[in-house]
Amino acid sequence: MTVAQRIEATRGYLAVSALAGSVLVFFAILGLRPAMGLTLPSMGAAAALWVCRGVFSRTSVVLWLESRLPELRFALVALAENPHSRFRAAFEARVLGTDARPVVAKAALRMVGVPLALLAGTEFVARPLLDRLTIPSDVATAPSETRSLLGAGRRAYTAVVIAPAYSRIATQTLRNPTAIEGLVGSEIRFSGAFDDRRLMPKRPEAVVLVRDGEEQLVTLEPRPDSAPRVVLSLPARDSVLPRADGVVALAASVRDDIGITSGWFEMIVSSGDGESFKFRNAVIARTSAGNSRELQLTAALRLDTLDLKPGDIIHLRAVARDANPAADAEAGSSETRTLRVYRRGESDSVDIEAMAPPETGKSELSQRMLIMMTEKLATQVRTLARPAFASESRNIAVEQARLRKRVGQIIFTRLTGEEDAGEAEGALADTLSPMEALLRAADSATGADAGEHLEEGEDSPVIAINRPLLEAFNAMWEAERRLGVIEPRRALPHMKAALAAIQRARAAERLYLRGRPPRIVLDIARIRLSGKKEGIEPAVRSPRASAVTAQLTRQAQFSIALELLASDSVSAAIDSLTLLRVDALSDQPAFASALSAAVNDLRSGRDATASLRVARRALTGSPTQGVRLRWSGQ
Amino acid sequence: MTHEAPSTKHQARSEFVWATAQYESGDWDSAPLVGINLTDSVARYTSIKVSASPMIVALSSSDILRYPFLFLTGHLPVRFTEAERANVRAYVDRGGFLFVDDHNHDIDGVFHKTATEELRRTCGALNDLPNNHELYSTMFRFPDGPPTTSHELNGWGDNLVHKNLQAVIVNGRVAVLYSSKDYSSEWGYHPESKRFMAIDNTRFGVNVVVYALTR
Amino acid sequence: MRLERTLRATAFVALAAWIANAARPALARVETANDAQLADALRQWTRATTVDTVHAQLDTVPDATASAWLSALSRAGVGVSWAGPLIPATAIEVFPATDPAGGVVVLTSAPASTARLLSDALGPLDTLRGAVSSARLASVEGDLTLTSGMQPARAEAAPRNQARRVLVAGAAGWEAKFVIAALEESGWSVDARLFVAPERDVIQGPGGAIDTSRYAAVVLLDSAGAESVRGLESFVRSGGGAVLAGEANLAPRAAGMTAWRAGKRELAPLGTLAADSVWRGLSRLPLVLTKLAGAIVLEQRTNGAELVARRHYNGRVVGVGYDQTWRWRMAGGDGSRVEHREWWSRVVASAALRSPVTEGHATGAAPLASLFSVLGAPSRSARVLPVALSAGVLSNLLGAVVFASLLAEWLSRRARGAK
Repeated sequence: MTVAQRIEATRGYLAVSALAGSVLVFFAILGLRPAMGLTLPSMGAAAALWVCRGVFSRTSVVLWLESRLPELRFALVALAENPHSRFRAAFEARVLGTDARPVVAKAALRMVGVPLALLAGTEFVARPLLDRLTIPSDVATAPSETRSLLGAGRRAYTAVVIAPAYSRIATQTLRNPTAIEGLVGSEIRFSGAFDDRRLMPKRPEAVVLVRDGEEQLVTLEPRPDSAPRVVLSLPARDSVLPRADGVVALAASVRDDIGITSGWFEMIVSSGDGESFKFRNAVIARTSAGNSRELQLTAALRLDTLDLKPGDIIHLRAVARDANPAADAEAGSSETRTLRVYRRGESDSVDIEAMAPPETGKSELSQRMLIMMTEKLATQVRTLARPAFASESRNIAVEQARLRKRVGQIIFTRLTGEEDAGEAEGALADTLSPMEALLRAADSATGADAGEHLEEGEDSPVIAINRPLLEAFNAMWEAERRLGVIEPRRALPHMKAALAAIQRARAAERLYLRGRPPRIVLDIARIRLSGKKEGIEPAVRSPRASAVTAQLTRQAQFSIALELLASDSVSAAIDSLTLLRVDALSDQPAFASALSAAVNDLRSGRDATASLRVARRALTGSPTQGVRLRWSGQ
Repeated sequence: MTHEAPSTKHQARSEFVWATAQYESGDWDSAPLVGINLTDSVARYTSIKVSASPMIVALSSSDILRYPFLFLTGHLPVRFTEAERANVRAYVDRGGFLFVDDHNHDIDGVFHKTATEELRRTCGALNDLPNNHELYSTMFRFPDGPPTTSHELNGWGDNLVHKNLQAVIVNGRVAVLYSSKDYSSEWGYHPESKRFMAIDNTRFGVNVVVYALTR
Repeated sequence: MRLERTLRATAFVALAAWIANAARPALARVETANDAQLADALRQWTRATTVDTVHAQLDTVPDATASAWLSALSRAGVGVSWAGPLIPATAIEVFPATDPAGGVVVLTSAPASTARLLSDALGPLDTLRGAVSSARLASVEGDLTLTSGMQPARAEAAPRNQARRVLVAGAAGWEAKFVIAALEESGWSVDARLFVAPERDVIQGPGGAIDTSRYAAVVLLDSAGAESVRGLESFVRSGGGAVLAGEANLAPRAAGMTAWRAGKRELAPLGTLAADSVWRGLSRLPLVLTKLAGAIVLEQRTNGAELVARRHYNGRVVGVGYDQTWRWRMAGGDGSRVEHREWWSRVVASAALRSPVTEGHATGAAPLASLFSVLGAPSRSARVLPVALSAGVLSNLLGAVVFASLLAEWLSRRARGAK
């Protein structure tokens, strides 16, 4: 290698090192995400090249080598200035005899190493530090349903949205979101600048994350889990079955937004008529769907297995449940079909069968009411004056006696079949053994031994009903006696026994029967205001809420936010508009959507006038033109 | 949803008509005398213009919108069809008053279970109505809340004395009134029978009607 | 020689005329400026002592400062004239809506041929149609501007009206219930007297006599309602509003205030939709005007009117023929509840007592009219001397003639060798 080649090679090494160094400087500055984009990195790289500009000059390289290698004793400079010097051989020998590689390598290393260290510093120290302290503008990489548009100078945080397990939706990680959408019940964990944990509420909500005096407003926008949609295709319509036999085909289809766990047919069979109905519930063909989104339900219902009687009604519907484990999660259900077994003699369902007023309804004070009165009296034993206490106890005794006689009349009527209970009056007035007296009266009225039947436990329906009624009658008599001697507390067990006996009688059969409804024609003019006025008081009406108040409030809040913008309080305006958006999400989605666009514009520093104008139009609607001018413009 | 002019005489005046809701799933006609009896009571105690003929109106028909007061009762399951559900929703939204009574008086019975489920789906949550609500003082005063019925005092049905009625409140007023007290039985008698009563037990029904007409 | 004498004579004559021109009293000095020049011209005209008359040739109405400046010049003795044949006659007026929903009502006027744009601080609101148009705006940010051609008209948004209470009286029934509901939902504060049974009323509010300090309007739904309100006529005289609905139009107590009578009740024919705005509820009492003047018809579908109104002293009376509007609300369709509510609110608002309108609108509300009031009527053209005959030009011309004549004479003499 000649001296000239050596100089060129050295210059080449150094130039490449300088270029590499400047490139590294460029990327190091770029890594800091400066506000001016590529300008600052370019300027940095140019500056680095300027500092090292000497490496591109042959003379500078020669002088630099001379300065770094004193042993050359200007041989290199002399050769560079005068290659044909007569001392050329001596100079070349001196130059070629000197090892310049360590010096060049050291210089090249410095030119590359320093920028490399700078790059490492920015990447591994400065940038994480800045990321922690500031949010770079180009970091908004959140999914489309989230917004991550924090302004510069805000601290970074992360939100992890964990959907409920049943939904099988993947966990989302959002960087610096200001709005989070998710399924109701999703868990949201904030980390980084804020440390918090929330559950996605049922209604949109704005939460304020706070840490070290810094606040961040985040809106939570829930997405509800829809109940499965169920369509019952068979039976296709309500029908009347001529006989309770055969097979009814059942079919239904189910769809759900997340996944169906199970579906089934639900059946209620109602038997009876008038006031007495019995119900049977059954679930048919429960099918597990394994979280699929669609399910077809089919089954066959054999009517002869249901032990149906004429007049019975089968209510059928299909029901499905999704995997939502929440207690208030709603099952989806189809429309209900009714299948009625034909009953001989029945006419159209519109025909009305009426019931007569209940017998016990004629009694002003029932057994339960008497118990309540007695219990109340018993608690007043210390507070009430003795004469008043005794008087009240006797009053209840009188009412108890009245009720006992009513029950006695019912028993008498049922035992004898006679409506007129006049013969029983004397027996009911017996104060020593009224039950025996009543049975004797019944015997004498029918010529049969009713008491004997009772004792023998006949299973005649009449007797079966009357046995508990007689027990009630007896217990009432005991209670009446206790109340008469001012022992209300001791009367209570008998009163309750009477009530229990009445309930048993009711379980055997309702005490009233249906009959044809009378055709009633009201003469309004005759009866008008003929009722007793006692108890009527002038009433006060309370006003109902205004439907426009919420709208006016929203308009006012929107105007305030615009005023904040006009006064350059942009962050306050953004917060106000964000809260307004949360408020409007459920009932004014168009307004909420327009506000979202406006907030995004403001956050990213764009002109938000157009989006705010759209938001206002969505909030207030179009101006109404052509209001009446002839009558003051209203 | 629009509606044609009614052809009945009820169009002549804005009079109160007791309308019973006819729904497809159950025995909507189980208390046929309640309407005439309460009509009689409204005439006896008030000067409100009232139609002498109660009406029956299909819940699936938009005719229900002609009658801002509707009475619904029965023993059997209450499961609205889609048309019934849409009508009831519109009815309540526009200011109608739906009075539902469990003729079974049984909170374990199918009427209660199905009707409350259906009302919740259609109109919103049923909540206990406080016993100092305007409903109890709008005409006659009931300081203890809803009057008891002989059926609950005698232990029919669920053997409970229900302390409260339930209601769906819309815009601060009762839109749906739900009773487990079996007023259908309590009020289901010939109006002339009132003369045998020391205290007319339909007075609370008058309150319900006056509330519906003035709130 | 003759030429030289002629030239000398011409020079002397021109000199004499020059001197005479300079010595004669100064002619009036007229200055003209257009829109673009006006700001600078005003400063010059104010400083110059020789300006006698100024003329502004305008395409738009100058701002308030320039108008005031021109007015001041005029008062200082300078003749001020203006012309603006292209300036559109725009005007805008804003007043608060009476009903509780708030907002403003805007009245605008502009030549029908020009496009008009209504805008506020947030930007354009709507384009308007017709020479005279009106619009109701739910909310306004900042000032309202009507732009027609090059000329904007500006007005401040009116302050919100102070809503007072409304009294509704009538028999308990569906119409009363739903009218009150409509008004309350619209934001009106309602007092109510509903007659349930003799001396057994359902009451809302304090009751007592009515006066304009408590109520903006009274709504009477039937004859019972009309007869129950004492002092109705004096209430209306002092500025209150009365809305007479249905049979309330038949009440003797209201007879002195109305200029119409209610006819026999009509039912909608079978098949009429409850949503039909001809009926608004399927029955009505046609209202027939009884006096030629004093009442105007606001809604008329058939022979009789359904909505009429008149002023009674300081107050207003509105007659409503419809008497079953509740049917419209209940059965009129999906939007009927809102329509019913807004219709009743508008009817009551049109009668209701309103806050006094504050005077003193900004001059920008009707710019051309303001210019008329400041500067008077425009002149077609300024009385300006022709440029050729102006004093300065004449003086220069005479001077030139003098020098030219003398120069020509000298050259002539030099040409013939004379001195």
